[in-house]
Amino acid sequence: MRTGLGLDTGGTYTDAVIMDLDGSRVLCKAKSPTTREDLCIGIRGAIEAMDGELLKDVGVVSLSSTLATNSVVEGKGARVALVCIGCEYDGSLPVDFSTVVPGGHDLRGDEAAPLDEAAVAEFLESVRGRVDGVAITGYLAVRNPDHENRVRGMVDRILGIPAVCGHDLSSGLGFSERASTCVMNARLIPVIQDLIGSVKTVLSEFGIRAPLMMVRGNGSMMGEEEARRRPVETVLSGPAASMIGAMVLSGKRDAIVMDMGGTTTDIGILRDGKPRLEPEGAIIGGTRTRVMAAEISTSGIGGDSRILVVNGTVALSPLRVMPLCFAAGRWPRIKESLASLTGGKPWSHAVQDERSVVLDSEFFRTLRVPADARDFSGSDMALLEALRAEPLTLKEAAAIVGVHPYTLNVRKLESLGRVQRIGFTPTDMLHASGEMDQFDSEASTMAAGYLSRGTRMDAEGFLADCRERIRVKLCTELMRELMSEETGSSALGPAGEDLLAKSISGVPGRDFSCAVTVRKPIIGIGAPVGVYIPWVAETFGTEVFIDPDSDVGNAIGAVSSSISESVVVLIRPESIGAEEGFQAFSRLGRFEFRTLDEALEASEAAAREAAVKAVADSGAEDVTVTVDRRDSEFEYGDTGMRSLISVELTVTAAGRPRPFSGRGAHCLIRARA
Amino acid sequence: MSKEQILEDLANAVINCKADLAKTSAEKALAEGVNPVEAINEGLVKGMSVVGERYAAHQVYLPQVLVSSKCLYAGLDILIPAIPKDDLANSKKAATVVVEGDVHDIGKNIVKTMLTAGGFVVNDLGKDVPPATIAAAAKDGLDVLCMSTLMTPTMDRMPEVINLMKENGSRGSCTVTIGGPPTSPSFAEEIGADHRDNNAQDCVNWLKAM
Repeated sequence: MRTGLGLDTGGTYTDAVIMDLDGSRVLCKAKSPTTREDLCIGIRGAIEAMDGELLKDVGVVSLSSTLATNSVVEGKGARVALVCIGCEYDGSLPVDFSTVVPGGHDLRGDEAAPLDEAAVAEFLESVRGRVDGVAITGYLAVRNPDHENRVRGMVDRILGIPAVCGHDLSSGLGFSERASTCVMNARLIPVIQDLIGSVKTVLSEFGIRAPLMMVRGNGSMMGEEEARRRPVETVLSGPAASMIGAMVLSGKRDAIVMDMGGTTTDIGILRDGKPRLEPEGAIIGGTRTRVMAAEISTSGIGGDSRILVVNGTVALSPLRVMPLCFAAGRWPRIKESLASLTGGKPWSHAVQDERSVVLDSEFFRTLRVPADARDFSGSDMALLEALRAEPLTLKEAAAIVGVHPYTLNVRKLESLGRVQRIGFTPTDMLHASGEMDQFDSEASTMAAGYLSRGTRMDAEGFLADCRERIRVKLCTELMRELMSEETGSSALGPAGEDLLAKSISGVPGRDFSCAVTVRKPIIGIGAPVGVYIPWVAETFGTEVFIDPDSDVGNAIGAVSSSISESVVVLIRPESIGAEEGFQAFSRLGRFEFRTLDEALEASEAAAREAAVKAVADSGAEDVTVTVDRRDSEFEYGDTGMRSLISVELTVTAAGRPRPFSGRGAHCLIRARA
Repeated sequence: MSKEQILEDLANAVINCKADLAKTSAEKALAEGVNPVEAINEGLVKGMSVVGERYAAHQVYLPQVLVSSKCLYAGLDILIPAIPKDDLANSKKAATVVVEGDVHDIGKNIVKTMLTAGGFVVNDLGKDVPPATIAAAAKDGLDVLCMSTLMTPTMDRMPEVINLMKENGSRGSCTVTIGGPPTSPSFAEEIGADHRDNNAQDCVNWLKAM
């Protein structure tokens, strides 16, 4: 039996799972809090909780990490110099040093201007000792990588530090996007080296000597050597890993994946066993790159979303609050306070927006008291002090501070992350209705009773109304996502909105009704999905899959994906309609051929060789190659005559990681015991 | 003279190819305090639309359209400078061009006329223009690019322009339409243009509906 250890360092938890890779079964799983300052503590904690007998037979380890993503967002990493050849960078990302040198190519891959090597050498000398890596991006280098390669050679000779070329990371057009990708990659090299080094140290503590793989944003994995060269591809690997996990658990290669967490619900689509990718490249930390990553749409509804009553109506808000049922277990006085609400009913100003509304069933607690009180008023500070010991309602806190509740600016303190709100959530709804009993159901029931008095419904009607709103919200978000991809526009128009509303509510119009059928099954992952996602599937007449192991879906996906590399070749006639004279462009270079058949044959062979070598270098076995050919053709005017514009060949080699088969691990584990 | 009469004269000047009438009516419009934008849209453009429709319906020949467009410009030359600057700042920037290797620019000139009349600020890049020049113009800030070619061998320049725009980062913010007999909707789609139109009227209508 081949087994693998999957690791996922998420925002909150680090998950570990040992999988039977042949039977796609989970053998053992564990969670440990993620430690941002040193991810290895969380990883060690999760591995420690695993079955030691299983650990010693692990043949491969694969890691999906948010570390690279966080580093990009926080602007951490190596000092980088950027060499732009023949074009100016738009400056989306700050770089330590940069230059523009003459050079670059045209669309046919011919030299547009000779590379000014003297200028490159002068620049490289000027940054000696001041940078850790060099990013190199040439104008239209995707049509001819020669200048980028020559500058890389010069960096090797002159500085001897890592150099990253744009054409190695993307074959897509877009100079500045490739330059951003390149800069990000160069920054991340030491970050990923440290991570790989320390994870391997942890693994060796447990006697695991299996090869380490890193998950990429497109859902495949790569060996550690490749990851050291192209760390930017490990960014945003979490969503892709979770989709691969969903596929493995459900056995469905074509499906919609809804991942519902505390704050948000992420929607992704699996097509033919692969996550749908961002066609233009992922946006990382606000910057558009050419990194291929899963396209995920996120909507603000989760298990901890705030439910409130405003002007007699139930409203769902994207604000994340702590569920009352959870807080009541931690602070018993919350229930005493809720019990005192008998008879009253929620009230709010008609003009207030949702965030300004504070209900008597909502509590606040201080998270952090500012060291510097300059930006805070006296009553802000007094409120923070009052809320330090235990959570209070705004009225209770105002009584302690000695002011009227409306004079307290709790909204400001909340948006600055100084106080946390505790309130009624979808999780409380499930506790009040008896569908969940993990936390204190009584607190949820008391709050539901109070809130329902602000509506014209009884408690049961209120809970049913909450349910319906959550169902409608989830269904609407899903259909908006599917429809906007289908039509290329996010605006549905009044007719579209009406059809959507009718299909989800099931309420017919005067003369017609409307139903929408989703053609793919829905896979639910995340903790609370067991209840919610079946509502969505039922609305759209499709199947739903929920697996009890979906709570570690990312880690499962991390170790179940395959090693895969693609080479994209663009073949085009010298001029449209020409029978002879073809050019092929790829990261392997530019090649010329007489006929299309010759171009296709030679390009496929070269791409195949490069892709197979790349996956073999990453440690793959049982490699299979697929060739995807897309012809771009058009019709001349309205003549009916068709002609070829170009052919795009995507040659993908994929294999599974070759497991480590040494048995040395046994002795080490025994020695520890 | 009433405002309605002035607007009608402006329209008729374009429809009946009377450049002098277009000039004098435009001057009258300003003298009588008619809003220049209204004079353009409700007078000159209305007339040009009638001509455009007649051409599309094969009721008039191309030379007549060209003469009408000259009359339109005779009026526009007087009215456009009178438009307050603030109003122009909100209008979209468009460029018209015939791609490299081709000098057939009648269709392009009609598109330019209709776009100007339709409230776009038009920069006519001319004919026989290399792809790099067009892409550079797009990078300088264009909302709309209208490209045309009459001949098959020069069609290649259109995907080249679009690819260069992708490379220099200007494609995302610019709408690209193409026209000319060898092009087709499938050609537009395959090369990554937004639209292909049969004639100037359709092109401007599509752009205005965006």
